[in-house]
Amino acid sequence: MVMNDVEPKITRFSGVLLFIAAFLLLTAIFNVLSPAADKTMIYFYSSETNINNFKSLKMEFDQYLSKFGPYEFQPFKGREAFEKHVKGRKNCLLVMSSWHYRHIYKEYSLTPAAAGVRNGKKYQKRLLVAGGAALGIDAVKTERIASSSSIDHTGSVLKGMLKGKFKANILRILTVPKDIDALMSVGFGMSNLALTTKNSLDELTIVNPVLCKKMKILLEGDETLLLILAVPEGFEKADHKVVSIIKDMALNPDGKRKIRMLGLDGWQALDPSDMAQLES
Amino acid sequence: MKVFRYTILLCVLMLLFGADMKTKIMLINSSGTVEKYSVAQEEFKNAIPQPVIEIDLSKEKWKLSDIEDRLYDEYPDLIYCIGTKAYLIANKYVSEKKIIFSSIINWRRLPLTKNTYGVSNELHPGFQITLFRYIFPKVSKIGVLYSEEYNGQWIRKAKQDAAEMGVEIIGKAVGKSRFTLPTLKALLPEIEALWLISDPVVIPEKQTLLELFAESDAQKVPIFSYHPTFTEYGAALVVSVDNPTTGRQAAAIAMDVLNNAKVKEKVELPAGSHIILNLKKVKAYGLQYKEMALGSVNQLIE
Repeated sequence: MVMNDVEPKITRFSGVLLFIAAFLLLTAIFNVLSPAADKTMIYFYSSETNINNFKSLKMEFDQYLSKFGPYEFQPFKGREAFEKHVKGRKNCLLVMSSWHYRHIYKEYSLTPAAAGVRNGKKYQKRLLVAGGAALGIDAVKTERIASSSSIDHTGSVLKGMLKGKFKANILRILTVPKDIDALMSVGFGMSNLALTTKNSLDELTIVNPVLCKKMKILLEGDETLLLILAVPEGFEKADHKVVSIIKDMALNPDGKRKIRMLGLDGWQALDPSDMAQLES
Repeated sequence: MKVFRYTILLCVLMLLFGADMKTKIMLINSSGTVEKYSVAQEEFKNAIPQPVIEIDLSKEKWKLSDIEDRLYDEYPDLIYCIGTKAYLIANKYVSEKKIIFSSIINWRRLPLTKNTYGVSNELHPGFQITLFRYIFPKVSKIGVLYSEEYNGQWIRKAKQDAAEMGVEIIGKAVGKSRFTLPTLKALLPEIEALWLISDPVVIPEKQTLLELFAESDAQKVPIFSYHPTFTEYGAALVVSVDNPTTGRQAAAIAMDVLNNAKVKEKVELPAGSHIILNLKKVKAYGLQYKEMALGSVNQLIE
């Protein structure tokens, strides 16, 4: 008799335990899966500048974006890993160089949402700078070229600037972390040539005019757009709020400071001529 | 028929000699457990278009005789040595070979030969001052404590470079370590920032370092320095060598040396910088910094 009284209690108790266990399991599965599913990711990789402040970038952008909703910033060090990761993803935004965008936008079905702005301009001009008056264009065949862009990007830009005079594969490129490093490596004699931008040369001229006087511009490239904020095909309209949040970062002092970590001071919409340049 | 045979023989010999003529590169890492060494190692390997034989002196219980045997067995054309230990071993046994070093503090104390090349571990003073000025355009009076013995020549060069940028370096020589703090106290009222350089007379021990930071902090004078560790003590700005660039630069020198290309400087200064900006201190001292320069900062401390 006693046994019969206890048995249903045990069964009920086991049932409750089972229910709790199942609930916890489901919650855990939901928690593991939901952040990735719910969050809109902003993936970043720049072939143009060797940005290696990933930890700070991620922390600063995550802190800023989390105020507006479930958004997460994810910087990438290498092009290959970036492209592999973003392929086929819809619930994300991409921030990349305009050079990179031009190379992959068809394959990845991307549309530009905005272009970065620096000193009020969407465009920048690439320069090949030499350390010393004696060096001519032939120096690219023998001298070391410092550049903060990836090897691929540097080779491609120089190929365009040199208009087929030399093969890109003979170039001796030394990748440095920043544009200003590339220029200073010419100024202080670690390299004889630097691929840089007019912006960086202008900034260095303000800081160290004597050093810049020792340099000369060998070649000027075409103007190209700065970083591009791109949206993949299938990106849901409801998520376009995040595009506005990023585009409006410059209106907020904290946001402005964050985008300056990308070397920008704002974002601007693209007009038809920008689109033509970008997707030509 | 004879001609055909000779041609075949010649081809085989050429193939054999061709294989032998391929250059052999060895890399010796003083300790693979040190992050800056392993980073330089990886970048070097990635930048060299051929396999590299690697020895990590921390991985196995290497006896000197084992390393000697390995060096003679392989007998590489070029050896890249990361850290002092690696360089001293390579120089001891195969100094007749091309040796490139990097990541060595005060390389001038090393025994060098005509086959020695390298990347130094100290940024050019002008390079550092340019970056100080780039981030803090309004700081124009920077103090430096130095000993004539270790940094006399360096300070004269730094003053010259700074003057070109409109920056005044106020250097105070410290003859003996016990004078570091009194000299600092006299210097602080004259300056807008203190540039802490590597000098064993000025900072002989950790206690002096702590007192130096405490005194500067009390006077709200920011410290600019050369090593990431100093941010833990409260440095406002650290401009140090970028270790991945050092590895790539060593690879560039290696390729130049092996291709008999012109080498401008046998020991090059580092071409890449790593910047840490301590915004906590910047705000605490009310310093104005150039926001646009944040794009060049590698690490922000907030």
